[in-house]
Amino acid sequence: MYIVKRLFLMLLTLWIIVTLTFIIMHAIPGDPFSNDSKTIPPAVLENMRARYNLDKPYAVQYALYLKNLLMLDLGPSIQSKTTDVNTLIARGFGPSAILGIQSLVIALVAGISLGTVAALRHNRPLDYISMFIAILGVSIPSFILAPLLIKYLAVKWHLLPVASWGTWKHTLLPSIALAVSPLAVIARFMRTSMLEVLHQDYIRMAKAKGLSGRAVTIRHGLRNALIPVVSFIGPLFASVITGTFVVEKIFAIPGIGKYFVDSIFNRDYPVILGTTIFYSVILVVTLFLIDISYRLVDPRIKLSSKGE
Amino acid sequence: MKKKIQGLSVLLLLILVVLAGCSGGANTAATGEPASTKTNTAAEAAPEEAPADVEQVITTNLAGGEPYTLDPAFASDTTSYFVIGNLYEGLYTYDKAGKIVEGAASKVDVSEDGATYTFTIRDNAKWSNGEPVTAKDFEYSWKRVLNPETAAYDPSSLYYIKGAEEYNTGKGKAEDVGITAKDDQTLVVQLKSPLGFFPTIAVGTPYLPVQQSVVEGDEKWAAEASTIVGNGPYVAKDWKHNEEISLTKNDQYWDKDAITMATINFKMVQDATTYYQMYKTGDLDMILSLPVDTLDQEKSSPEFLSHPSFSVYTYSFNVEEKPFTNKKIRQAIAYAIDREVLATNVTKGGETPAYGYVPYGITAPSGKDFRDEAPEKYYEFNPDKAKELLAEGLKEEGLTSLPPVTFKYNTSDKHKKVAEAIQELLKTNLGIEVRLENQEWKTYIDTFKQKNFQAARMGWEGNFLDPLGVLAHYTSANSNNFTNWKNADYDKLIETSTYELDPAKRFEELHQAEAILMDELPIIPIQFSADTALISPKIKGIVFDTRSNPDLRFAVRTEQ
Amino acid sequence: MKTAFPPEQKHLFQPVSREEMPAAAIGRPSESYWRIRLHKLFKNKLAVLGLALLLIILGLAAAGPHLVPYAPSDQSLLKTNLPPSAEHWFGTDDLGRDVWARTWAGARISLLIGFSAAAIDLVLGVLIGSVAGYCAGRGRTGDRIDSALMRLIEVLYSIPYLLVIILLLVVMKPGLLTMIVALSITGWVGMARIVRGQILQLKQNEYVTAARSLGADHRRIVFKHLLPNATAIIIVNLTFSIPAAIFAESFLSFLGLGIQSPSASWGTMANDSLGVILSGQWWRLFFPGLMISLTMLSFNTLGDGLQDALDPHSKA
Repeated sequence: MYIVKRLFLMLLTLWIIVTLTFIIMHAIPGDPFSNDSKTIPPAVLENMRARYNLDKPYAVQYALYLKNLLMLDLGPSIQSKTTDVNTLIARGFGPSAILGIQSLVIALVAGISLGTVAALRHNRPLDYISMFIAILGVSIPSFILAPLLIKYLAVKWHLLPVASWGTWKHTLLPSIALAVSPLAVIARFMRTSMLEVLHQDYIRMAKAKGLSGRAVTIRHGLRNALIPVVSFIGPLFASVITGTFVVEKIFAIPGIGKYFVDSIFNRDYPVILGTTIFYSVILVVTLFLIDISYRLVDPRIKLSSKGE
Repeated sequence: MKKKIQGLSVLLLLILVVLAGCSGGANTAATGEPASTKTNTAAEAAPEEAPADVEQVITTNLAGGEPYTLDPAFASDTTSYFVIGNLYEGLYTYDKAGKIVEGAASKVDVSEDGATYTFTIRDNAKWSNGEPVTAKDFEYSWKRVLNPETAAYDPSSLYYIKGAEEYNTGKGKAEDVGITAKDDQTLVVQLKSPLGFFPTIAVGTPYLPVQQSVVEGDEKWAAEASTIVGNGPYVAKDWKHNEEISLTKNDQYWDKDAITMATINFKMVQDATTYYQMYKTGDLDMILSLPVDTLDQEKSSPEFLSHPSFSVYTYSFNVEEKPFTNKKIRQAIAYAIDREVLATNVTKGGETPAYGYVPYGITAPSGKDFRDEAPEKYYEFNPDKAKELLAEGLKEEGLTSLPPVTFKYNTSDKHKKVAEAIQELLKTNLGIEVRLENQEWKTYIDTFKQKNFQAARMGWEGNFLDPLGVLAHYTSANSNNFTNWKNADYDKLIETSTYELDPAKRFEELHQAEAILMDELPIIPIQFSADTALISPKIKGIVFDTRSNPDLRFAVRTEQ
Repeated sequence: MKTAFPPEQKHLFQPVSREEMPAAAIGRPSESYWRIRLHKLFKNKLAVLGLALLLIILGLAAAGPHLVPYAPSDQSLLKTNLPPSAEHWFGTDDLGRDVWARTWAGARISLLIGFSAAAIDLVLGVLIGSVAGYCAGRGRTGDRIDSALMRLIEVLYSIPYLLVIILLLVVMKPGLLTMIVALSITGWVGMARIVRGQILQLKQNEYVTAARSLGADHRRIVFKHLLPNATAIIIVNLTFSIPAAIFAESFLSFLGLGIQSPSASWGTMANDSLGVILSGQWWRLFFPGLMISLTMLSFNTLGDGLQDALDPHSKA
């Protein structure tokens, strides 16, 4: 019952998102056609608008769009005349998802280990090192980190290719660039909640009972400390697997991240809506799974009073 | 109404002289000749023979990323043009020296009155699928661009043809358009009025041919390498979307022996920092548009090349918005902006200070560059004169000092830097407080259309290589003129110079028009833009001229 | 299991009517509590160091630009890209402006933005997150409130932010206020989700049931029992929202929404000098970047200290 209800709510949320996005994108000025080398004479512009149904009233355009959407057709891209939005997403999702998942794995593994070690070595050098990494990770954002990585690892030391796509080696630098900031956040969350958990009575009790330090942390601490990390990675997962504009641009990744930004600057309406819907679907499903996973992490958590 | 003037019988020597270059293949239209063509070899345009053991391949970059389309009817950006220019060939094309010569046409006859062009298509012109290129292909392609249902990007470039505008705007019929394939070899084009520089226009992207059976056979024919059929020197071999597109020499191309570069790989790296680093590691043989911060260190490199492009960077005034309603105040601003310092110390990419509106690159009938022919250098930096004019202007307006003014620019690192420098120059030289505002392009254009600005940055690229290509932007009816400035004399000069057949007289009118524009000053030309490039020493013979993209056809790789 | 409450909070269990309770005490423990916590904070050397660093940065933000004879916007096109020297302590940028003067003038804007973002996070994020987390599983109405708030967050996450920014640009004048509005739209959602997750877990503890059975109302439970136990995570998240806002500001300013030239901020200075990674004028990127890192550092150490000092389980 809970799941059926959530599914219905998901559809409702998606509909609200589509509608609001539709309204906002038509409320802002600009058309998809004029570019930076010339403006289009009015008569020519009318022909173009007619071809993409933009001359029709907004209500009609909206209805047409929803109708196509029900058949999972996201429409044509106005900017690249010969490609439709479904194709754009299908082509680009692979590379984006590979980078996203790879970077999430790096961030999770490294972040959780670093945070746990820091908590166990509270106020000792390892703790300070983890704080240092966290500070650097967040105060050097990917748009600064990525060119630095390229300059040293690719150009100076020839360890990895500069950019582009193809082999596994090509995915390393962008994954690292993407991973650093969430890694820092995860490490800090982990450390903080681990410290708290370590102070809890049941941990002290477990220690008093003679369980070793490592067993204590893993059995009790880690599990309880995961809640904020889980809350944090939900939206992060949705955004990294659908591609990141900055990192994909710097590393020339053929993903879909760029369409989220370019489509808006180009006023490529079907692409704006298509990418938004694609992202939202992944987001709402992820957040649903996150809500469920709270229970896995801590079985006492109840999300719905129906279960009482 | 006279419909078809048969120009075949009236080919006179006089016309040949006037419209030099429209027949024979060796010459070019008077206005189409590029004043400065550079190849990246030291001095000579024709480089050495390609070494037999070196694979002729060049890897370069599309800084715009994935070309939006490879269908010439819809292409709207220089990235798409770069690839399209190698896949298709119009009736005219460019030769090794950057001159406009016959392409798919072997012969062009121009009627006595200069209004009818008769093109003879080459016997050996073929599509990349082996089928012959015919006059009907051109008729189909051009009418396709004009068809309102096609909604092509730039049909207005064809409006010089009789009946074209009417058809495109729904007021006329396709049959009445002056484009007729008399037979497979003969294409007759009737212009609205005689037009001396028609070749300069007809060499443009909207005039490129596509094959009817291909276009009608597959709606998405231009989206994949395997379905694209062209008649140009190259064919698309492999297109990895958003990654790379590879072109190889078209073995059906009629002039394939003249093409030295066998393979062109275009990578699609949009980030300037990244493609610069890829050049440094040798992943790329040539890059265009260097990151601004690298210009200082690259300027002296033998691999560096800077070439003027046919575009001008300006600030436009809204002449109906106070205080720029006052001509003297506008002129004062122009005198107070030190364009020399902007070019050498701010933008640094080899731009030229603009002391006039028409960029360098057009050879006048006198043999000199249009720019050098101009009666004066307009608004050279003169802070004293600026103060004087400002004082006079303020007096006329009944003001004691100028209230703060707002300059707008569209979001970009470069524009921001120029705007900040101008802000400071006006503060230092005139004591004016300038506020800056920026908007992303589409909002900006809208702000512009609504005339919601005092002064704003704008830069139009010339639509074609002729003073008209830029001057026409400021006639009262032009869709690119947002300044509210209207001048009947100017409009008239532009109108007459469009259809004037005597080049010398025509250029005189164009100079007069520019003089009016500069005196009235609805826009301040800041600088003539330049394209920068880095080219590997292993590659010789790339042709750079005022076209937006370099010509790679005749390049040679000398080392692996 | 013994009570999870430290001895000084025992009095909280006495039923107090809302009228007799001073307003300030609703969310705040008594003064002696704070005195003890502050004492503990000041005993933490790292935290004191962080505080000192923050005060130095604030001081230089106020005085820094006046210590040199150049205004932050003064250009000298003949003295561009000079390395740090006795004349220009932090060097000059590509328009010949003094990087020291710009760094400290920029500090004012960046710190203001950072603090505003933190305030938005604290007020909106913590409030909405705790309401949602507390309501979840409390009958139909509670479920509905949680669900509505969570759907709102999904919508805010999904609508392209850039579109919203462009819309804002059209309807509002660029400036600090617009910037703060832009940051308020979505700035708090991450915090809200994290707080909700924490509350969902914390409210299962026995002390919540105990407090409820002793007659504590919802507000009391949230503010006195749940949030104090979530403080540590809230503080950590807060320290991350500051640099995020500083960089968001540079993006918004670049789009024309925020502060306009010739004003500087750390974010815009860093953004404008990305090219130095290729050309080597490191000082243009390094100094604003360093200040962002130092601000982060001071908040982190201070946050850590606070976390230790506020930890309900540790002894004073």
